[in-house]
Amino acid sequence: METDELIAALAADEVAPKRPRLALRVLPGLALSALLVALVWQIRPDWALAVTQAPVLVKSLLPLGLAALAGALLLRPAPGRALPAAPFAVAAGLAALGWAVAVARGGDALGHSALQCLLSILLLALPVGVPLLIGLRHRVEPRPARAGLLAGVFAGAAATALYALHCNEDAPAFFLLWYSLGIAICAGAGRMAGRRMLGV
Amino acid sequence: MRQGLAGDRKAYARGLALLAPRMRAMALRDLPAPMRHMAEDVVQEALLSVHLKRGSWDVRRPLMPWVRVITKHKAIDAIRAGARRQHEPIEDHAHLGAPPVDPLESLHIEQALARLSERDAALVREHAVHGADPETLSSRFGLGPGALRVALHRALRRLSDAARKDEEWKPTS
Repeated sequence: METDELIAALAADEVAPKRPRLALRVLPGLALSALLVALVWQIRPDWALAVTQAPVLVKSLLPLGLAALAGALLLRPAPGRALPAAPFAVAAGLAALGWAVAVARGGDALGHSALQCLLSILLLALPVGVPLLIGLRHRVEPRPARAGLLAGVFAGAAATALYALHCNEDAPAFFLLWYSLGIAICAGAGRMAGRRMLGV
Repeated sequence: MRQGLAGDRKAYARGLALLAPRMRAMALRDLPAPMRHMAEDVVQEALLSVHLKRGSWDVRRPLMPWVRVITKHKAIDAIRAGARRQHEPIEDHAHLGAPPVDPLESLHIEQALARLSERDAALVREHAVHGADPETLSSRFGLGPGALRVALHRALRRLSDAARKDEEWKPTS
C-alpha cells in the first residue's frame, strides 16, 4: 500500500478521535474508592482526634504528596516533559530508612491488619488505576514503562491515602512497611501494564 | 491540521499529505543507512499513530514536535525490529529473479494488512484505493453507514496494532 492510499483511508475514518481526558476519567474512580472507604471499610471513629498527632498526619500526607507528584507529572503531555523516577526512589529510600529506625526503636512491624492493609490498598487502587491507564492509551507515550509506573504510583498512593482514613494502626514501623509495599506493588503492576498497553 | 481536527475531512487529508514528506525526511535521518528502505514503513506507521492519537494533540501547542516524537519512536521501533531480523535488500539478488521493488510501497504495513481479517483488510484497501463511496461499501460488506464507520475505524486500529507487533517475517504471497 502506498502512503497516499493510506492517507485516503485515514481521512475516510469519521469516528471522532478519542481524547485522553485523564482528570475526567480518574475522578469517578477516586470518588468510588472514597465511597468504598466511607461505606464498606468505614472511617475510623477517632479520626478527627488522631489526625492531630504527628504519625497519623504523616501516614496521610505522605501518600497524598506522592499521588500529587505522580499526578502532576502525568498530566503534562508527551513532547517537552520528563517523567523522572528519582523522586520516587528517594521517597522509597526515606521510607525504608524511617522504617528501619522505627523497628530499631522496638516498633511492631506486623501489627494486626497487615494482610488486610495490603489487599485493601490494591483493591482501592483498581478504580483509579484502570481508567488512568485507559486514558493514557489514547496519548502518545514515548516511555510506556515509565508512564505506567507513575500511573501505578498515583493509583497506589491515592488508594493508600484513602485507606489511611480507616486504618487505626499508627506505628510508623507498621505503616511505613505495608503502605510502601502496597504502593510498590501497584507501581510494579502499572509498569507491566504500561509496557503492554501504552506506547507511541 | 487544525481545520482537519475540527472536522474538515479535505483539510485533514491535505494536512496528512503535507506531513508525510516531512516525516519521510525525519525517518531517513533517524534510520541508519542500511535500513533506509524501511523509511516508508516508518512514515506509514507514524501516520497511523498520528491519526489514531490525534485527539491527544493539544491544538494550542505546536504540531511538529508532537509529530517528531511519534516518528522518532516509530523509527526506533523499526531499528529494534530490524536488529532482530536481518533483512537482505532484495535488489542485491536481482539475478535470482526477484521482482522489482517499488520504493514507495511499504512491506511492513502490507504484511500487517495481510494479518488482519479479510473484511478488515478489504475495508482499508477499498477506502485507500477507490476512495470512500459509502453506499457501495455498505452493500458490499452488509453494514449500515454507522456500522461501516466503526468497522473502518476498528480496522485501522487493528492495522496499527498488527504493525506494532513484530511477528515472524512472512511473505505476503
